[in-house]
Amino acid sequence: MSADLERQLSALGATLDVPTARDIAATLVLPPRRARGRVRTGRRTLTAVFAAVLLIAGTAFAVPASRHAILRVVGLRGAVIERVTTLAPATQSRLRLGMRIPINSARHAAAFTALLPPHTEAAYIAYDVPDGALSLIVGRLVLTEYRAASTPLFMKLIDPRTRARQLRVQGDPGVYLSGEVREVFIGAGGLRIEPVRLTGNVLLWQHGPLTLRIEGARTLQQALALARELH
Amino acid sequence: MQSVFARVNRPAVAAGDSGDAGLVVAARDGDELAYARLLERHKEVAFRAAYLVCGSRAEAEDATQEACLKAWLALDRFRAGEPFRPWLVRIAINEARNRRRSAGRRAGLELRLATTRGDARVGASAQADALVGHERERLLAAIAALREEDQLVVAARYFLGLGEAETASALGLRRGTVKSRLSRALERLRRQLDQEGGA
Repeated sequence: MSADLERQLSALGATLDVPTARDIAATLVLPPRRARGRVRTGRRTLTAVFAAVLLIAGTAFAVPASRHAILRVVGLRGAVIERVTTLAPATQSRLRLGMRIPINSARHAAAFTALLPPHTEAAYIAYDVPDGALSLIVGRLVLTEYRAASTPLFMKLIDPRTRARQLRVQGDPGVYLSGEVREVFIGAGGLRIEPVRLTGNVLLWQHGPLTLRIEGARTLQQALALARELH
Repeated sequence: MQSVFARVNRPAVAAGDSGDAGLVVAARDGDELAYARLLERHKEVAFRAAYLVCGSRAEAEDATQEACLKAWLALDRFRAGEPFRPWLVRIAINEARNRRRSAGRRAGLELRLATTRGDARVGASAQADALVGHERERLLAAIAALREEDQLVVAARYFLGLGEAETASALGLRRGTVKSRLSRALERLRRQLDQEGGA
């Protein structure tokens, strides 16, 4: 009887409705093995935040106002920042974030596993960069994620009054731009100056292979608060 | 940068056709190709486990992908000599349970019979097929009445094809606990089926 029941159970297993998975592994992008240490505990997170605050207070650097200076942000690979004497006039237009997608598919919409905040209003995917760029609307902020290529994909132009602070975001290298910023997209289609996307400031940082950008924050604290919530 | 798995068909240099243990050692040293080969071997069973827990293809895919990523990040904590497959299944089950809990759904496996498979036995009469189908429905209903901890043991052994030791590892139980829980679950199933048969 027992053997009968076990045979029936095995047979049942073969008739269960289990779909074939899409190729899960095909879109899985592994972080470098060094990233193992990023399995964080609350204490570690707190320490990282505290360290970031100390760094901001102690080593925030005032970028020299030399003309057309490229700012070197150590560790930031997906974008480059250049200080120019004058910026092109700002224009307002619709954000070009790409195609709207369901929020629940955002994590794997691009060819990498994206970091997500707990709450998101909308998600968009654009394929004008290799592996795609994911943009999430979080309140009045726009979070964008893309994988850094061998050459930066975006250039941020800032004017002499714009402040650039080098800092650590959850232990990762980044920069906070407060003031006037324009963005230049460096893609296969050539250079394209983006209109002013949002009024507000920009936090850029590098997390393993991913470059992340938060636009529209009123303060650095607001941007860091969102960065801390990503998982 | 392309996904490491786009390169999985390249001939392995270090890993070769070695068993899981060799691939785990190589993956722990940062060999992504070795890890890709490990996943090629075991991602299906991990997905199946996740699907049985959460009952949604999209959620199961997400849970499996998260499990693959977490396993990669936690390879240092993986004990040498232990089997990789049940470890990955265990992470996938935990991920799937977390997702089910986040969605506010009740505990218990999501088991459904396929509509187009299973009864296609050559030479079987339509009546016999219908009877078999009916028996399957009864068995499924009896499993649904079990506690989730018993359902999981049954699922691991008969629906995922894991051995006793692997089931213990996948569910984080002692081998003796798997034995006793499985025995209890089978007894309950048998009793329930007998009661229905006698009714």
